[in-house]
Amino acid sequence: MKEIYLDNNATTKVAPEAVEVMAQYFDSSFGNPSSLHKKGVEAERAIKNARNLIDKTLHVKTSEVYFTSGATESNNWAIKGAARANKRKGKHIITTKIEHDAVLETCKYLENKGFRITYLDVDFSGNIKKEELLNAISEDTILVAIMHVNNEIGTINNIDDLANSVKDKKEDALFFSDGVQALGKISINLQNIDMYSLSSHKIHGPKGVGVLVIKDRVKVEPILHGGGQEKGKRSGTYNVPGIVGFSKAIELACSNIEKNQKHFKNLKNRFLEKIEQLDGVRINSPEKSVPTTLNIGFEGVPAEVLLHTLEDKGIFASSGSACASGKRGVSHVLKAIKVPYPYISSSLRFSFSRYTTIEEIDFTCKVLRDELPKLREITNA
Amino acid sequence: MEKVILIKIGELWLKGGNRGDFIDRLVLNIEKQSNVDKADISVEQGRIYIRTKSKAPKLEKRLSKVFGLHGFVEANKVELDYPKIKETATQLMRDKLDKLEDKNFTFRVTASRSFKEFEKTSEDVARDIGAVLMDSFSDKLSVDLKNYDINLIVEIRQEGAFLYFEDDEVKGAGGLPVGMSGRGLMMLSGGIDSPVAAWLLMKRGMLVDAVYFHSPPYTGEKTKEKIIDICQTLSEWKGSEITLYIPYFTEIQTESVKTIPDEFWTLVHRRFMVKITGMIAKDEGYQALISGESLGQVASQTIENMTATAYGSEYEVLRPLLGFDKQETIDFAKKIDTYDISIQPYEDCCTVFSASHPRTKSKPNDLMNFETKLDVDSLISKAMDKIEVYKITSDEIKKHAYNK
Repeated sequence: MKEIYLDNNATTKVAPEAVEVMAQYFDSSFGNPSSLHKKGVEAERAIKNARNLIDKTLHVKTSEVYFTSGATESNNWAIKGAARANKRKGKHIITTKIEHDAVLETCKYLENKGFRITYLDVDFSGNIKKEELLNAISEDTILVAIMHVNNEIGTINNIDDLANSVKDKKEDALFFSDGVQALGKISINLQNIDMYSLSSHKIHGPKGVGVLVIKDRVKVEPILHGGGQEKGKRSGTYNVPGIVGFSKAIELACSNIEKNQKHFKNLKNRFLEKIEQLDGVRINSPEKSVPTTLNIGFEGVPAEVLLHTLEDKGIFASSGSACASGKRGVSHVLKAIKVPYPYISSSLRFSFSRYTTIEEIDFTCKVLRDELPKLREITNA
Repeated sequence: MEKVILIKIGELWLKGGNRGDFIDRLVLNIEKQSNVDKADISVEQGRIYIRTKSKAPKLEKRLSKVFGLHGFVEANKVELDYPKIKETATQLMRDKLDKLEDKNFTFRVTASRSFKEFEKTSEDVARDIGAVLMDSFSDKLSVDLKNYDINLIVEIRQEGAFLYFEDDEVKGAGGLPVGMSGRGLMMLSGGIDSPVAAWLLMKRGMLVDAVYFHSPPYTGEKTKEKIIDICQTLSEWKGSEITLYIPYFTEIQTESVKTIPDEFWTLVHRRFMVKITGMIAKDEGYQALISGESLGQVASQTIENMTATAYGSEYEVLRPLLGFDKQETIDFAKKIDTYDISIQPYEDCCTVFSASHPRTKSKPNDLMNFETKLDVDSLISKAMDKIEVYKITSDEIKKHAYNK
């Protein structure tokens, strides 16, 4: 059976080009970049090249890119590190109700450690209201954490504008954004942003690598101590093959971004066109969202049942963000955007990649058209 | 001096004429489960010994999962030479005291003598060794026969003297050796209860295998994985592979809900489960079915419903948890390492097929009447046609054909 993978917001297939460039760093060039001999220098060169490529793509300085083990670490570091470095200035952090768990849970952790957290509401499209953000800023606000693109519904926040407004009101408040779902999908402008996190495996790179961009002007305490890598700010032996693969993945995703965006839009439009012909369907993703993410509610069909039905036909989707779907209960994002009752536990997320084809979308929509009535007959019994 | 693991077998002594069979089975299970070379296990004078060259780190953990074993301890074996026994006792006490931080201890020596030809009585041995230890460690030890910190046990047996400390003894899993009480087929749901029920009957010597009713797309692959994980954990207690039968249950559920009122769904489905498990038992030679039901725990587990769902079954349905409170079951599940697997939140039998108010008191005839509306035979044969079989041990999962 042919497999149709529409769960690219959970993780992606590693691009063959990335696999190819990585191979050498498992084998002949296995050295530790911190070693002083030839083997080390060879590996260090690879890290430098990767870093240069990321700098160019994001238009930041080489010194502002820090490699991590992934976005969970990047998000933890940005928030805890900024909180600890600035706690004398204040103990207030602002975030939103629809952040990734790596941000929300870190904020909750800090809440237990005496910080005050404001969780901003979002509207039906998943966007925060700028006035509410600005009203929430007070004397002791040290950090604002707002994601660039939401992983479950695809909402895009205009972080450049938000950061600008935050700085206008309180110049020394830091602005951090989780950019995991933005990379390779929309253009990224980090001019006003203090910290920004990225993940490799969401853009056809290997798992276990991420980046935290920290602007040179920003003070952040390390959370990992040890051998003093990354200028002493992030210790731990470099994941050389991972970093090399990640950099290749960024190159592939970002050098063709216009072409890819066009492809994504075609996929999304086709999906919408077909799905809107069906009854009992609700598009949960807002109109203005990344074209790679479509969250759709199917009245009267439990999300897991539909997920397994599609799985049986070789189609892989998600019944919530992958990390969260192990937990029972309703998605905090769908709850925050007030998805109405019959849809909230009956929603699936379809997320596309540049490898997704129009034929795959057509087949998926055909399966949905055929299977939904059959399932409803049983679930409505 | 030689280190040996001395195994105590408690209840097996009561087995009279069958004792030999029980001991043979236990030795076989110890060999399999603890990975000990057969040549290193010996049975002498009704005791089981394992010779250990070096203390195998996993041996203790493995032995504690062998049913039929009351307890075990690493003892020091010396030949029946009185000066040597005293010397060993002194050496052991020195090692013991070196490990302890505090300065002063009370102690006693407990001696027993099953080898009556030995020159000294057990009282002599206890008193003499006690005196030797007092001579050597008078600064640290004082005798207290009742409130002692340290109890050195000295057993004089025909095959030698065995010395060990009471607090080094490890409690065994108890029960009877697996293989002594027939074969049973457990209906595993993925919840907390059923693995405990399976474990309890293994403890009483039953060779337990399992059935899981898979209902895609209403139950997912993750649930099946979870069941396999449970079987892996249970196989360590069983001491051999667990065969897992997975009939295809979807059509039974989707067809029955079309004609049957929702308050009876769970019960009708349970009857199908009992029937199918009974068929497998017949094909594969099991003697009983096992269920994790506890009296009155949920609506489907009232005495009326248990009777109705098993009514007409050719095989006894064993329900070892009947008298357990939920918390007692949870405590067991934690002890046998299945709890953390069971609480993973994947849908077990999807909520789609359970009513909000299930019938609490059904009669066999009610349920059998509903069955007349269904083509029971054809539904069951479809479930059996797509049956999957796995043979599962803690380090291997093999797919198998159904043998019938």
